[in-house]
Amino acid sequence: MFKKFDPTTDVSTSTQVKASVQRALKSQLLDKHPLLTEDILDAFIPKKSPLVQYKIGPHLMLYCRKIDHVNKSPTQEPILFQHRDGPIMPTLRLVHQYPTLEFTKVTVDKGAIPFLLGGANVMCPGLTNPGGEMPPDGAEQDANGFDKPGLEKGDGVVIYAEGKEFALAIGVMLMSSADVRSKNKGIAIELLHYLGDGLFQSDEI
Amino acid sequence: MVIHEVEEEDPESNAILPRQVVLYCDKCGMPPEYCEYGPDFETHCLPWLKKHHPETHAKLYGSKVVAVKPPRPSEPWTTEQRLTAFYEKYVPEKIESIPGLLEKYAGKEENLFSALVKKYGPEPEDPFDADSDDDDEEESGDDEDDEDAVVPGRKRRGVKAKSTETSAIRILIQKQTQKRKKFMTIVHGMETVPNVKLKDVSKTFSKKFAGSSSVKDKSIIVQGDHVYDAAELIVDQFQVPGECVFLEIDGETHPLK
Repeated sequence: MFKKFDPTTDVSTSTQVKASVQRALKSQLLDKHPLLTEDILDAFIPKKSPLVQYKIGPHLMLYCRKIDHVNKSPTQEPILFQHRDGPIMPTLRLVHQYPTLEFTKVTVDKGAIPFLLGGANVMCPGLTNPGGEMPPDGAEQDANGFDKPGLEKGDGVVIYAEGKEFALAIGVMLMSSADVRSKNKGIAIELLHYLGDGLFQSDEI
Repeated sequence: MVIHEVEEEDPESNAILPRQVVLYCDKCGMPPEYCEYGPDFETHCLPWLKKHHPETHAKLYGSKVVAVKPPRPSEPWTTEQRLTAFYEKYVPEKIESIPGLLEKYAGKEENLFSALVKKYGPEPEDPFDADSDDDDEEESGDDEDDEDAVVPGRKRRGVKAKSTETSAIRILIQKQTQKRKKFMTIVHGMETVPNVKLKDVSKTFSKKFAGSSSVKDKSIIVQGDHVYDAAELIVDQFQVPGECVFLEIDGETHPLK
């Protein structure tokens, strides 16, 4: 999605995000990524300076926070993005900066790395082969008796690579994790944002 | 990776959510562990990492010996080199006969090669022609496709190394376009200065010269006659070397002394 993204030309309007919208963003993140708490979110979503929303095309929003600099005018750093009504996802730079942030994540097999770096989608075998990892499906229960949620279609995930420390890409599930395991065929995750793409390279607007 | 905590206004949030400064490769912009997937790994990323961050380099590649691509020759092969490569590939015993062959076929080299190709097979590739990617000015996503077609073997996706801008910084300050006794100072070429936004430059000018300043088509226009002042400002504030600045006064171009 961000393969050819140029912050100087592709970004159109910028509006300050209303407090109500900001709260909605936070609550969606808390909902979809059960390991995040409100305190953690508040640590990187600024409270004082409002989030700024940039529109890229009619359906793609980029949420940025303000950064002040010493000898140039303040810039905006993209931290979250949303395509249409899809999940609100962090940018890769944000994920790298806060390594303890626990978004819903999957790990892909090492062989998939070169393809993902070119922007290709993740195929089922990348997740089911040894080296790939996915959250377990709803059939299991953890120590407290709660169903461990699997991934549903439409969930946003952060994609890590086998053996690498830093996140590789951000994507949205096209199949539930149960389907991925059973069918093992076809596209499992659609890639929205990947390492080295246009959005990654524009760390300030 | 060691977490270096960034100085925050409230250390409290840092305790809840530690933040680290991430090391990104200067050449391809990715974390060093991913550099090996980029097309310029051996030529740009690896030497840079070894020089500037030896600890990370040791951690990632300490024991492994990475095959380094031989540096690209600066010229295409001469006929002699082509012949030598040819014979090396197919019939090494005949290498000694090369000087004689060259004499015999002087001026008719293409005939020689077409005969050889017919006899033995396709000519080995000249590394000069192999990755000819360093000559373009700006990196764009499209280049990756061309790259992959030419370089045989493992297809390298990922980010190409940023071409370090050794293109000359050239600033032309044109002045005194008279408009009804009022002067205008026009500065061309600020876009060749790295790390500088035209809007910021324009703002700085208007502050310093108490005049209105605007950006038009990559040139900056300031009201008033500020030839020398603008030149000084550019050299001081934006760290432009003096030799790159040229002043044009009444049709004559002088370099800044």
